Amino acid sequence: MSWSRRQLLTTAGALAFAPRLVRAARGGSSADRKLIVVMCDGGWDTTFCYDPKFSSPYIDGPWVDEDPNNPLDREGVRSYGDITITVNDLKRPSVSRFFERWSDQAAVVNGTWIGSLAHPPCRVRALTGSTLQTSPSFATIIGAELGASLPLGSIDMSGMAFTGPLAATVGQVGFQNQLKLLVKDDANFPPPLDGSIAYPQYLPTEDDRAALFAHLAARHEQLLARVDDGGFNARKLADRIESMARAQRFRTTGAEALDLLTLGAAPTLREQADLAVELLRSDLAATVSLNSGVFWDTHALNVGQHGLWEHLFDGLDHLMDRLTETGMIEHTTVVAISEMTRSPTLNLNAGKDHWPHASALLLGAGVIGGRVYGGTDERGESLHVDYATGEVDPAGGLVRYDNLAAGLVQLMGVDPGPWYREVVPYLPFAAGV
Amino acid sequence: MWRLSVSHWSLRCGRNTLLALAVACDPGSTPAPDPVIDSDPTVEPPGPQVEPLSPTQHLVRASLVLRGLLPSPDELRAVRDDPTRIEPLVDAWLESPEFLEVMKDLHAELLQVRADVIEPLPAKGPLAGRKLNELYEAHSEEPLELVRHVIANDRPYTEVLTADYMLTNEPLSIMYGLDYDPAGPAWQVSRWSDERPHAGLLSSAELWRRHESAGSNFHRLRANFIADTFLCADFANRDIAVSGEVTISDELEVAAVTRTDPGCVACHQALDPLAAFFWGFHRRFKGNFTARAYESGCDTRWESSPPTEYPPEVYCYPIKGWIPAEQQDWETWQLRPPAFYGHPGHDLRDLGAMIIEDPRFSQCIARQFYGWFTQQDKEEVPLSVAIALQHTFEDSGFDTKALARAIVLSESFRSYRALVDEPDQPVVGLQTIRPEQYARAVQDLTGFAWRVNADLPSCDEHVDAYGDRCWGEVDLMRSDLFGYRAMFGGITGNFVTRPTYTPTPTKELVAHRFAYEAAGHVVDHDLANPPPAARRLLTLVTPTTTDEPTVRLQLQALHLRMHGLFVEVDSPEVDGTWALFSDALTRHGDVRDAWKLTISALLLDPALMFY
Repeated sequence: MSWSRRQLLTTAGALAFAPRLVRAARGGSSADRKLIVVMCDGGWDTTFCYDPKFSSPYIDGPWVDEDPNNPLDREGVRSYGDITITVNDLKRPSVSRFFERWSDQAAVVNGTWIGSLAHPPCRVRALTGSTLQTSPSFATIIGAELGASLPLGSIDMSGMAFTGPLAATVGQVGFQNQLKLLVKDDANFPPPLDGSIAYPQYLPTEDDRAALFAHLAARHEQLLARVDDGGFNARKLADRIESMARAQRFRTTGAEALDLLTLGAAPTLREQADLAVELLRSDLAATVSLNSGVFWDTHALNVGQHGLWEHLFDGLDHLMDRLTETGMIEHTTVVAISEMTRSPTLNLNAGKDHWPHASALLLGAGVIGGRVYGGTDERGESLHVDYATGEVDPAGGLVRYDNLAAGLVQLMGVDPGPWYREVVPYLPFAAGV
Repeated sequence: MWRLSVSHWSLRCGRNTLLALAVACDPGSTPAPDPVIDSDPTVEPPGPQVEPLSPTQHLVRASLVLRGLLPSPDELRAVRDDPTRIEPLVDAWLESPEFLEVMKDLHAELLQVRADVIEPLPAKGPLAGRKLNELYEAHSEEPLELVRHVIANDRPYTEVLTADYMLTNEPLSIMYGLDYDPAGPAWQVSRWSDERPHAGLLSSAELWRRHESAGSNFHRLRANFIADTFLCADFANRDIAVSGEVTISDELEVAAVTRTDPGCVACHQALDPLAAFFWGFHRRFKGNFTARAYESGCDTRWESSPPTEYPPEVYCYPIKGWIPAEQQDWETWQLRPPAFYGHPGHDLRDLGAMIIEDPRFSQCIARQFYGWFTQQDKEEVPLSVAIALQHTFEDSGFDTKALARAIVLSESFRSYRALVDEPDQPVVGLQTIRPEQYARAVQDLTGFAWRVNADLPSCDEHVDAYGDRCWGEVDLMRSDLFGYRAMFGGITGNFVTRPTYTPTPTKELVAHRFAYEAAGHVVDHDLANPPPAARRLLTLVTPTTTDEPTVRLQLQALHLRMHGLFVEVDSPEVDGTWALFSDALTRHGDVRDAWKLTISALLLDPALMFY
């Protein structure tokens, strides 16, 4: 993409009138579609939920942890519509409750081949659909497109944003919600131990800020006149202008939403869910990426997965409640994803190692719910599927990480072509496609 | 036409015939021309391919890259009057303490060891009562201080992989039971007190605490990290297929498959022997292992909680980070013995020696440095540039300063746009200021560092198994747990491992708030009538100065000091800042407020945010 001086000046002009644009955004330049991604970092064990394997002699599922002396501690299979999952109402009651309430809006996607065994490359593949850290995540791509008229394209609360060349559209909350200190003028930094500094040492007025932004926009024009190359340099300056404009709009419109966050503590999934809904409802961004708030990498004592699934579905249930109460569910899609699943059998530490076959849970708008798409064999390996129907079909193809990422982008109404060249999008779960 | 000297080239290939080298040492693959490469003097060089920065802007770029500071007005004037003065200035900067800090920054990014979002070793036992930030900085800086020592003492860079010593400070010496002289410098040369072989970074405790190896990985992640970082030979970017018939939780079966399955052998025959060198290190060593060991009294085995590989006394201070009895455990698991791409070795010392002999090492370090200096991935560095710098590096005896010097004085480094439409033309466009650079430059200009007390009010009351959570004082531009390093475009060291050079809205929010604080700090300081020599920025005005000629003179001086720009008092630059100042003065009727807004603008100016 080539950037011209005119484009830069157009963006700079927008910056100079940022307050007016903020009002316009609030007045209705809402994105039609919104996305929430819940990243379950570390690798979930899908035999605890999405992928029951009771009949497989090759897989150690959650039943190995059953307490023989407790008749309530029993693993079982239960169907919700056409979705069949593993349940244990004693250890993971929130899982059952979730599917009882929301299965008609839920699509389980099993058997995505992820192509690696280590966390970092698997994260990159699962979130970006590529092998490059420099590629943007599917959430970033969707946010950049759907949130073009909003203060931010996407907001990352997961701590693992892949932004690539779309970084100018992405905001981050910080590990302990420290974004709040930047946005809210009445939230001050604690002074250093020697008391030599009392914050804030200076805060400009709104008029000052407007004058400052106009001045900086003019300075960018001056610099561009000196270094314009119609490409790299021009784009970088234009990105800065866009970033400043988005930051200003977020500061003036997003501060109230950040009241939901507690400084100095990593937010729970429920807290993240509340904020995500508020951010999207307020049209501050088109996509928000959350972290499940727990680490799923159970190399030792895989029994820990019970609590992790319970935690996840408690949070997802809360998220769906909030989306429903606010009416946001009508145009919001939720994707819960993990970069891998866990090995079929237990290791010597009663844990499970990495397994390069992934699953995803899709919820809400645009999703044909009540179904499972794809599958794995009795050893947990991805099976070939019919790309049109998502049915397991030996004559079909393998679903790779790039196929699913491209499919999610298209599901949200964004053309995946520029980002996933020669990749067939996988989206049998998309309504109306 | 520019070309490589054939004899020079052949010599380099011959020196390492036993070692694998694909492209860089293939005489048939002639690199693209680059002016840095030795040229045939009888051939007319081509015309300029890139447009250079002015000498003073080149000086600004070099100064920010090498020191994280702007050049002084005197240095700028010297280069304006005589552009050849840049070389002695660069030489002087390479000897400065700031350059050593920058080298630590560079290696912090390569090694990913500054990661305060990962739980640090706890304030327990002999370290009870210490602030966590002190402990975090002790263990995370350990490998970086080794790098600093090598460079500061003009040792060959290869020593970072061969040094028979390590560096420790006082808390680190307690953590690992190291010799430490309280009367000596804060960081001093010492040796690991366990039986680990000393091989520079390869023997680092912190590097392998950060890069852990779980399950049946058997140190392969560490092997790949070394191969990627020091040889630019990454195994992990390839897609791999694992058959469902492989019981991946069975270490013996996995080990067997990696030796016999055709789909595995191609990578594992090189990767596994590299990994075998790392047996002896803990596979995983998290901060809470030590905390939990203290919880159990450090004298009994844990009964039910992971990890169970080691007894708790291993994890209590002084930590036993190396288990000699496990050094040969690759045999137990029937894995391949230690070797470096076919060359057998015994321990980490052999590995370090073989890595530095591999010509991929010198080229990879050239790529890493050039990539970091010019904000591009090492894989994107043009081959011609990498080879030229590799030669410089080798010919200098692996002199880090010679490599850095060659980069900042190269034609591509002092360019800012290409004049020809040539995709492989090395050109370095606008560079984005890094969080470390911005923090240093702002502190140098204003005296302000963004320090906060990170202790929550009740941090010492909520003592759990881990201990208390009191971090003490933290610099927000160096922290991700509390601050804004990654939010400003840096890395977190764990999930975010590559910087973002594209401006982002979050970075702008950080930059603006930081600039406001710094501006408020310096204006209050300078207008409190300190001695003239103690003033930092406002050297020509007083709290009552409002006359336009004097203010314009001050603004002219500020553009020079803060942006390295020589501008006239009636230039568009000064017109703009004067307009901002006078407008603020009119609205507020307060000189201090007007200067605070103006200094904020200068700190946020694209001439400082990009260079």
